[in-house]
Amino acid sequence: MNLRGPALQRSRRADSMDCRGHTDLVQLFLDDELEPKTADELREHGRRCYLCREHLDETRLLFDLLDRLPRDQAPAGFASSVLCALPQRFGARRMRRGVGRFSIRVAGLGVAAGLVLLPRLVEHDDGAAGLLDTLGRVATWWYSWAQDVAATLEWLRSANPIEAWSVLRSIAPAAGLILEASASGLTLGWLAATIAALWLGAQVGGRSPLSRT
Amino acid sequence: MKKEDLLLVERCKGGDQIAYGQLVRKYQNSVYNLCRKMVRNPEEARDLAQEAFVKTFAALDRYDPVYAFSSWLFKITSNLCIDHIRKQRMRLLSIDDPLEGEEGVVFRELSDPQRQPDQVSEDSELREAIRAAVDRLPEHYRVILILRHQEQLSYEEIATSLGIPLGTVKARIHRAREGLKGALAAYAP
Repeated sequence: MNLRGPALQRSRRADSMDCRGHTDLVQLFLDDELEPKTADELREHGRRCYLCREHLDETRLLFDLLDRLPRDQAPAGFASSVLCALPQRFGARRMRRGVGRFSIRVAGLGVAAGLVLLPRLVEHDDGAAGLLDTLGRVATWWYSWAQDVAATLEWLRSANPIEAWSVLRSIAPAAGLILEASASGLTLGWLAATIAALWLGAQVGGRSPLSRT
Repeated sequence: MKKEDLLLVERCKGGDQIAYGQLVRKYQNSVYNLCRKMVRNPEEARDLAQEAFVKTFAALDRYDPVYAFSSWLFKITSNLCIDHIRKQRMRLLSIDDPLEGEEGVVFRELSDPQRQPDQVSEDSELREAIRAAVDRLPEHYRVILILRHQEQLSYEEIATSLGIPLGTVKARIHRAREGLKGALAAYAP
C-alpha cells in the first residue's frame, strides 16, 4: 500500500479518518527510512494536524523506551567457553586445514626422507671433502625440517590446549625414536624411526587419533 | 568495521582460532543480548549464544563476504533462537503463544493482570512494562525489534540478517510497535 502521496493529501484535510494511514509514515520517519522529500511533507502535515502530531509524540516515546531497554552483557568467560567448545567438534578438521596439518605432514616426510637417505650418503662418502659435502646436504635437510617443526610448535603454542595436547601426544613417540636412533646409530633404529615418521605423516594427513569427531 | 571483520574471517578460514576469538569477543554481547531477549532464561541464552558462534565457525566456508559478518551471525543466532522456541512450544503449550490464522500472527492481550494502571507512574516502571510487553511478543516480531532498537540495524540490514523481504520487515516492525502501544495504553497518564 503506497501511503506517501495520496495519504498525505488526505491528511492535510485534517480528517481523523484520513489520518489513520499516517501511522505507517510516522514509524518510517522516526526510523529515518523516509526519503527527504516525504519526510518534509510529513513534518509539514504534523504542524497542521493535531491528531497526527499527537500520534507522532506517542510513537516517539515508544521508540525512546525501546531504545533504552537494558542490554544484557555476555557472562564472564563466555568467549573462552566458546573457543573451548570449538575443537571438541571441529578442531581436528580445522587443524588439518591449517598450518598445523601442513607443518606436521611436511615435518614427518622430512624426517622420513632424511633418515632414509642419510645412511646412503654416508656409505658413498669420498674422503673428507665428500664427508663435508654430505654433512652440508644433511644439515640443509635437517634445517628445513627444523623450520617445519618450529612452525608446528608455534602453532601448538597458540592453539587451544586440548587440541595442542592431543597433537603432542602423537608427536612424542616419534621424537623419542628419532633420538634413540641418532644416539645408537643402529640400522634398526633408523628403520624404526623412519617407519614412525612415515606413520606420523600418514596419520596426520589422513585418519588420525586427532580425528576424534 | 566490515573490512576488519573480513580479514579476521579469512584468518579463521585458515584455522586460526585466535582470529575467531577476536570475532567472538567483538560480538559476544550483541549475540548474547539477542538470545537473552529471545529466550529470557539466562542459561538457555548462554547455550544458544555459544551454539551460534560454534555453528558460525563451522560454516565459515559458506560465508558470503558481500554481506556483513554481523548480519550473517545475527541470522544464525536468530534462526537458532526461533527454532529453540518452537521446540519448547512443542513440549509445553504456553499461554503466551501467538494466535496464527489466515491474517497472520495475532497478538494476545499483553496487559499484566497483576499490575493496575494507577500503580504505575515512574519512568522505571514504564520501562519495565515495555520490557515485559516485548517479552510477550511473538518471536518473529521480537527479534526484529531487538535488531532495530538494540543493534541499530537498518531495515535493509534486518532483512539481510533474517533472510526475509524488506516489505516483511516493515510490516512486522509496524505491527510489533502497534501491539506495544496497545499494551502501554493502560499505563498512559
